[in-house]
Amino acid sequence: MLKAIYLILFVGTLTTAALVVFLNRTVYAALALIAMMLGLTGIFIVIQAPFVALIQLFIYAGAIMVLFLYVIMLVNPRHDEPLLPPLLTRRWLAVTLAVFLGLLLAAWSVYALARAGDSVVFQTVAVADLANVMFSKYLLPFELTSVLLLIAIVGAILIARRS
Amino acid sequence: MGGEFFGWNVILSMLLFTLGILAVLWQRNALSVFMGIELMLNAANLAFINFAQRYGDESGAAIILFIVTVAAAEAAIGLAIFLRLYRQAAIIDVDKANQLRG
Repeated sequence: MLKAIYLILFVGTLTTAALVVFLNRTVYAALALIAMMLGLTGIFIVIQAPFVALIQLFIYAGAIMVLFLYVIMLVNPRHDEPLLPPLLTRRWLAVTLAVFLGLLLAAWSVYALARAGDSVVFQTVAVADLANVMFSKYLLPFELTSVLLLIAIVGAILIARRS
Repeated sequence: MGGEFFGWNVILSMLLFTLGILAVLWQRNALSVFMGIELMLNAANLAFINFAQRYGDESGAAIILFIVTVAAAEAAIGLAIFLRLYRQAAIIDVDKANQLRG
């Protein structure tokens, strides 16, 4: 049962991610990205990481994608290209490079998988443990993110406002 | 429970990251390039929580919070820059934004 759900989420996440890459309409691509993030949320729930799933749902699928859709609305890009790209274009260089990087990543993944086979631990990360480590080991980076967010807010308003 | 999907999660995060790279290289629309970056960040999140659970280390989960925070800040600033670029020069194609002057 869990395996079937995971398989559906796996295929759905990959399909919507491919749509994000290849669709030429920005709005459709953004909607596909939201679907992809929802699929990833499901995967986080299946692998028992509910806190990360909530972060993914609220901040990514919620806040960030709303920002994207607002900017798409304001920019309103023209639709002079076809919805899906023609098969033979100059962009095959991009495909080759991406496949090369993907193979590099695959090699690293195989290495990491082989190493991870040694330990058979699996444990869910409890929110309490996460809070402990956030407020002790990572206290300085945690405080610095507040400064980063403040800079981002002020900077975004400053850049985007009409002068 | 949950641990059986470890290998599949690694593969999924790898494929998502590759698709993100492809979006950045393939698309010329600035917003689509940005979405490719978000795709890569999501793939990194999946890999982090996956290995955090495998090794029983909550640092991997903590770093996801930082990634999400930085992603939100990056989205706000980046989209503001695109908006400004579009208003001033009516450019949305990243190849055409090649003049470094206001």
